[in-house]
Amino acid sequence: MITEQDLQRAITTFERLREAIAGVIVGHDTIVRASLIALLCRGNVILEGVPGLGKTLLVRTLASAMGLKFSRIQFTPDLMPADIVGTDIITEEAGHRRFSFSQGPVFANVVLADEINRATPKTQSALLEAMEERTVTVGANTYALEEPYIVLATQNPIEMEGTYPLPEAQIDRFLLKANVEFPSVDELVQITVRNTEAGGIEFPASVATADDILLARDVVRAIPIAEGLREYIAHLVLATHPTSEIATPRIRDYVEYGASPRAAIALIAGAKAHAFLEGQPNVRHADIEAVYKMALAHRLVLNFRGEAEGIGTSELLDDVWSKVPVV
Amino acid sequence: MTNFGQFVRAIEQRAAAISGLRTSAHALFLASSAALIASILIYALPEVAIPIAAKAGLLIALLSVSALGYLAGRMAKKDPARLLLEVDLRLGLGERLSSLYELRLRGARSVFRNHLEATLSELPWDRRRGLPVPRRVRYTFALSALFAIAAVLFLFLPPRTHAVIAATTVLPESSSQTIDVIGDMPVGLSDRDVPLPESLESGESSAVVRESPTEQFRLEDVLSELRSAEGTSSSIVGDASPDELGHLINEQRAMVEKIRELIESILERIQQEGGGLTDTERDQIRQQAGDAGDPQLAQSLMDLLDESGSDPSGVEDMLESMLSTVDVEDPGPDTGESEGASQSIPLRENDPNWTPDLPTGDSSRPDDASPGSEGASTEPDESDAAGDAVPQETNMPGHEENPQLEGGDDEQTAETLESDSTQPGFAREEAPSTIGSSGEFSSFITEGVPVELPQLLDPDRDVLTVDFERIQSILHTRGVPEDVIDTVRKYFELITQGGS
Repeated sequence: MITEQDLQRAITTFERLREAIAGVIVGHDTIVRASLIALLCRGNVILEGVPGLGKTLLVRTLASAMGLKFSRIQFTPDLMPADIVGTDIITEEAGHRRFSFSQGPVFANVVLADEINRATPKTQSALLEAMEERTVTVGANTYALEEPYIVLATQNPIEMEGTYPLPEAQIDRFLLKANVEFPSVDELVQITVRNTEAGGIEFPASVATADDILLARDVVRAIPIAEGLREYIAHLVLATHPTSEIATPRIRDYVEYGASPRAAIALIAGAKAHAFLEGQPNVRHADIEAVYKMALAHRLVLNFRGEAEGIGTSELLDDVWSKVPVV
Repeated sequence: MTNFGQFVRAIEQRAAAISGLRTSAHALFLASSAALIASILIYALPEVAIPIAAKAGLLIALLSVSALGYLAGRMAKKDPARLLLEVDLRLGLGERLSSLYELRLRGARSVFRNHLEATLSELPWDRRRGLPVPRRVRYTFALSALFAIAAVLFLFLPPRTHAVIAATTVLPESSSQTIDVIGDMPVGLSDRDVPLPESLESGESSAVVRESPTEQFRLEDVLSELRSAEGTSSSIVGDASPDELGHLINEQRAMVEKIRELIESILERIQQEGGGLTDTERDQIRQQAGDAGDPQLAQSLMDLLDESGSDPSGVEDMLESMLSTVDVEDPGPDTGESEGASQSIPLRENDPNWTPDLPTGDSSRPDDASPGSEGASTEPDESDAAGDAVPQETNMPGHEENPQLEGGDDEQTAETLESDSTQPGFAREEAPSTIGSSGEFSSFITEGVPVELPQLLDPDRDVLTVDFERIQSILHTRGVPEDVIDTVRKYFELITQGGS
């Protein structure tokens, strides 16, 4: 049971964490918030944006501020699953040779899967178990990953040649998907100042521990949400299905598959985390709205007509949002 | 908020009341709509008699439906979680009420429950603002109330009748006939009899006309509208009243009579003495030509003056020709020349082959040959000696000189028809006619409409049937503008209610 002290501790932890991140990362409030929400919800985030926007920096800062182990995997077409999860190698010890498991880069707390869509589906799928089950199976052995664990994947939307778009099953395992926007003029100026003056970027010292993060997760799970809002979220998710009775005409026209039940879970969990970050004792409609697109946009599969007409899932979700009543 | 449970119960009660109002409004709307339709039908169908008790029962039924709807709506189950969420959203409480309800429902004490209760105790909130009566319910109630009021008004208004004129006309004793003309008797109007206009009461006729909605279209109003209509032909008499019109026609007759006497005296002198016109006679003719109202007649007189100067020998022939023309043009019954006039009319009433339907411009008819008629055989203007108009004074059944009722002599009939056909326009006349199957009534008839009594009268009942096609035909023949014809049609339909 969450006590007042637990609540205050969790709140303090994340306030400090946000301050530490803000000392390094300029702007990018959306992706910082998305990363923290995913961390609080035991989820993973996919960040989409052109290179050079600070995605890697954000992830490293996050890991540094939390005092967690960080690893980065640059996905390439020739990357093999064993390169990620690790492999059994023959070791010799006291005159005996035996296989011992050498951990791959997924064995960390914060994993940055950079340009994840450049690896083959086989390699991409190697992350599935780690992302969802928090375990890694090599041969006959299964290894647990250390909590807190979060995978932050990036993908470049402009260089699609030679890439392997993430299969629906895999992309559904990402709690949120956030678009990394280009910084504004003021933010860009500030970025240049931080990178070109004095000693350059200094990663923050650890302001939180793994226990703090896990406690905050428990706090977030305890945040109440009204039954009516749960039903509302269920209606929102169902409305994205073209075969649903409450689907909007645009959804029927352009969507092949709607959001999965994972989307509803992500929406509620994300709304709770958002409420926590906002210092609210309960989930509000505004919290749902804040994570609505991040939780659902990457889960909609457009049909041929939608693809051909260049329909964006974001505008379809706007349509659903405007048509589904709260009460 | 000291007691969340009480608060939730209060919200539930208010929601139940609103639900009851919503159901009640819908039920009342349906019931009042049905009541309004029914009351309109009852109003439009006077033969459907609804007792007062039934009308009062309708009101009670409406109220009962509303009350039952309210009770049914109240009994509908409400979900407090949704109600509280609705209040949250309406008052902008950040969904705290519904979240707190969720926590209390689980019965768990948590730090968040404490926070929520603490926050809500500080927030001002208004239950009515949180759950207001929906605007749609208010509008539905207002509309239903209007419908109900309208239904009650229609129910208690006097019913509309087909032809509410009911009259009993006692015809002159000399006619030895009494025609009872009884229209539909309006319910509840039996004590509102009003006397007939004087014109109908004259001629030893006593009648009463029951007040009816048709009186909003009085004959005088229709006539004045006809007179004021633009493009009204001369046959509609412009602004002249019927009295003025009669006066003018009498003057015209007198003038024609003077010319005839002058021509006769000149012709007699020439036949006795021979020769042409004297200067005195020329002056008299010139003066009469100037005074003659008829331009054709004046032109004939001027031609006579011109011819007498160039060819005195042909004057006698011209005078004889002119005399015959004047005879035809003057159909006055008391001029002594009515014999000639009557001869110009082939006594249609006695002609078995003659039909009362008025063909326009039928050149085969004998009266078309009369000078000045210009082929408009049905046009009873001054120049048409064989006018088809209804006799103004004698077309009333039961009139002692009416040949249709008395079987009187043809000559007298012809004279009567002729004399009245010279006065165009409309005049209030009492003539029996029928209103479909609902009975007869004594009302107004349009002067000039050729009511050929032998053909139109029902020999068994002595009632006259007039249909609008005949009137329309006459009006078209006279070139009466369409808007005026429409006015006549409306009046006709009003007084006959679609009958004849």
